[in-house]
Amino acid sequence: MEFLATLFQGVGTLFYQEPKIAIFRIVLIFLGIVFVWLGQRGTLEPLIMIPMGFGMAAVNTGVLFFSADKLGTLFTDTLAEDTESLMYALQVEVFQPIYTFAFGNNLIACLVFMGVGVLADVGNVLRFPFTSMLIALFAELGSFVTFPIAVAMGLNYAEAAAISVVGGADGPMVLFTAVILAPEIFVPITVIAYLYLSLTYGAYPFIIRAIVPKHLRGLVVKVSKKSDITSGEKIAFDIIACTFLCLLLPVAAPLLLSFFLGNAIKESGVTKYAKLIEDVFLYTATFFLGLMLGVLCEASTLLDPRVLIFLILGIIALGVSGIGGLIGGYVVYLISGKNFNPTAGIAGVSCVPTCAKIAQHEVYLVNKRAVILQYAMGANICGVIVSAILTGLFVSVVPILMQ
Amino acid sequence: MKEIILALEFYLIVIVIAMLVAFIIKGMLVLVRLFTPKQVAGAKDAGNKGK
Repeated sequence: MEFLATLFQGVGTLFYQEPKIAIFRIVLIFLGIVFVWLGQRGTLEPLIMIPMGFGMAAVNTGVLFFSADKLGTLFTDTLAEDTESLMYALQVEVFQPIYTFAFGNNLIACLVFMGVGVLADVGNVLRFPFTSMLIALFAELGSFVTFPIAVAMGLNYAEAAAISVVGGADGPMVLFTAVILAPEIFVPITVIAYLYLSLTYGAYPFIIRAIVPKHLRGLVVKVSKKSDITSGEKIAFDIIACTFLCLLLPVAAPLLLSFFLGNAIKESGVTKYAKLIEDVFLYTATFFLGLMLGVLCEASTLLDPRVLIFLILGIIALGVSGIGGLIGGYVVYLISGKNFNPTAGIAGVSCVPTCAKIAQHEVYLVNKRAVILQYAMGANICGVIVSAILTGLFVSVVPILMQ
Repeated sequence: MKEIILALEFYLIVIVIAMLVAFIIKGMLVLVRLFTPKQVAGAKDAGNKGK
């Protein structure tokens, strides 16, 4: 028996672990397979879920004996903190260099954000700055509602802030906040955040249909003639907004710099840099983000009673933000003399460009002539800016409140 | 109760900063357009005809 356990260590270790961890390992292996399947079908975001599912399945199968009483994997060691154990881990664990040099210091979040900057068009923010910002502020409601609920459920301020940022629906932002404020629970929080963000495609249309009646969803907005926004104006916005926000929120400066720099590069027409960031940085970072999240999903890490609390809080945060965005849409609808389609409000939840696409799709299903994408994209980009402001605020203030 | 007030304070700060950004956008656009020389309407067409 001992010989077989040594020969097939992935199976053998199941019998040497606590039963609840062994059972949870099997659950996670199947969950990883399900993620790959759902990613391949397009039900969940394939860019994240396929590498994550593979990582999750592999890390929970590939457990081996390091010594008679120590089990582990050859993927990564998140607990290596002192120089000696870190150097050992860097030599032994395959993905340790990525974890240490790109994950733990948030480089990966910044690279994803730079890519989002290249994909984003700030022209609609410049056309409708107040409308877009107002909607984005309403669509951040979930974060503020979740924070006191999280504290009431027993989390400390740092953990509550980290899970609240899920309401901003921005993966890199959640990762950034969790790594800084609550590094010991950043894995479950980030996994839950990305899982829920993948599900927005499925859930938000129902929220829209429940809150916005059909005749309003099909509303055609009369557009007054707006002047074109030039590339120079967009770059001016990028550098001014970046400088101003970095000045106010230095802790979030890396994220802000990444986003605005990415956008300025796109607008400046340096196509080689833009292609490099979009095709190489963004997709490399997203791939390793998914893979690392999967690899970090070890049974012992996720077998934390607080994971259930995070699952509940994540749903509250994203749900309330979606509803808040639609309320914002209604507010603009009333302010503008009923010349605004409130469906665009959901795009204030900043998951770029998913939420804007969902809003336009829902409108299109009711009225094929109604186009709200320009308002939705404006709100979407402002959602990113508002999420970055909130992240900077949490990261700056919460450690002071914890003292 | 204390946490609700804290969350409201956070919200208020975020609203103020976000609205400042919106004002900066508006002000910047006005300034940029003020200092950008305007092309005379029809000048391009007239130039093309002259060719």
